[in-house]
Amino acid sequence: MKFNFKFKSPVSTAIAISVGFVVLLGYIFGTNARGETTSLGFLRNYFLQGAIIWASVALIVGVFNLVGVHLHKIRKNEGGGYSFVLLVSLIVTLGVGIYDILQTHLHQELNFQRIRWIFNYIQLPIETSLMAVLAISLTYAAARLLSRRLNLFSIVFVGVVLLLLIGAAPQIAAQAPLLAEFRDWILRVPALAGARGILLGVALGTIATGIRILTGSDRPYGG
Amino acid sequence: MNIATMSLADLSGALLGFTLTIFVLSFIIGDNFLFRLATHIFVGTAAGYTTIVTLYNIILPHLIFPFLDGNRGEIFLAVSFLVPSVLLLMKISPRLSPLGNPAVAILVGIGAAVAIGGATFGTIFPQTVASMSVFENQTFINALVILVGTLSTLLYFQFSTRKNETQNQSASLLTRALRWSGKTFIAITFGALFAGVYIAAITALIERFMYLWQFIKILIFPA
Repeated sequence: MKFNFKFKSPVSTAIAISVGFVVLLGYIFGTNARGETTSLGFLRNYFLQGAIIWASVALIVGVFNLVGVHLHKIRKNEGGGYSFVLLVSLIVTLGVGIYDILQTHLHQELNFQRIRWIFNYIQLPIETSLMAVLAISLTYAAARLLSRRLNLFSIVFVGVVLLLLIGAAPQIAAQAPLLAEFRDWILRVPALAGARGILLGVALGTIATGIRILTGSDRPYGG
Repeated sequence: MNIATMSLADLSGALLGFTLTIFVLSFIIGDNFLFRLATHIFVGTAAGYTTIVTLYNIILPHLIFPFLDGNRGEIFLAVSFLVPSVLLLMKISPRLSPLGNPAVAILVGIGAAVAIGGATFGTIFPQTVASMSVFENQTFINALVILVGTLSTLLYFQFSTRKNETQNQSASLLTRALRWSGKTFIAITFGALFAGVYIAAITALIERFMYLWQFIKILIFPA
């Protein structure tokens, strides 16, 4: 049986624009002069609460997609061993978690020690180790930057990195107070100026993208 | 930490964490089977753990429990959240996927409005106010450097015009100088950010080596 439902524009576009404008207007007119929440404010809160729930459901859809991709890899035998390990670890974690949730509801007290064991002894060591490996990757990347693209900006970049790293050592900072002061100045003045400029640029870009969505110029929902 | 006083769960967990840490740190000698195995285990457990946290904290309390023990108002609210959630779940099936478009449109509309509101009230206003009051909090030279740095970094991000050689040549000397200065400020800021991430990564590396050493010490000197 073939389904042929198509929620194409203008339905999805109209939904996105109207919901977006309600939330945006709720930001501005969400409270009245006496500080009480207006109808727009209530609607905005409703949609924000809904967004959290729908984003969670979208996460579940993402997990289903992950399972689908790896099942496909196993069937096609493209690195199927790794995909099998991934699916087993996913299913075991889900099984343990659901068992913990059931135990919590049956005994009416928090009972998550099994899933916490998985977090403490599997997820945490791998995450921290990946962060540790990042130190090696970053050293390699900085060395490559100097060897492949040697110009004023890469020299400034690496110079600032070295200065901040050397200045961070307490003994060196105690021996050379001028260096520590200069390091502090770099963080307080030029780095702050650059960060502020980048933040403002990113915010302006975000607003431009948001307006494109709210006016229907961009339709990333398949409309 | 004493091996004699450790429970079997803690001991097996510590051994598992030790093994997984070795697997991930093996990346230092190059990409290999053990590293890829550890990352696939990580993706599986992380996806499973996130799903369980989402299920317990958001989906069950808002979409399931109101039907079991909620009043009429709570059931009505849950139904209004459930309908787009069910539509979103249609995205799992490629055939029924278009049915999920309106739900995605709601999410995108809310996301765009929140992004515009957040960028305006959370970044543009506070950063502009901070830039305006910079002459009150800093010395004149520092304030001037921050102001020039912020403006030139912003000028460097010019997304409104296409790259055009003739236009580039005709750009005034002042504009080119400001862009060059903006690029330098960005290099300094990225250098400072890089140094911060590098210090965090080195700290994680030291912590992992300490963990490995502690575990080996416990195995060799169990008392």
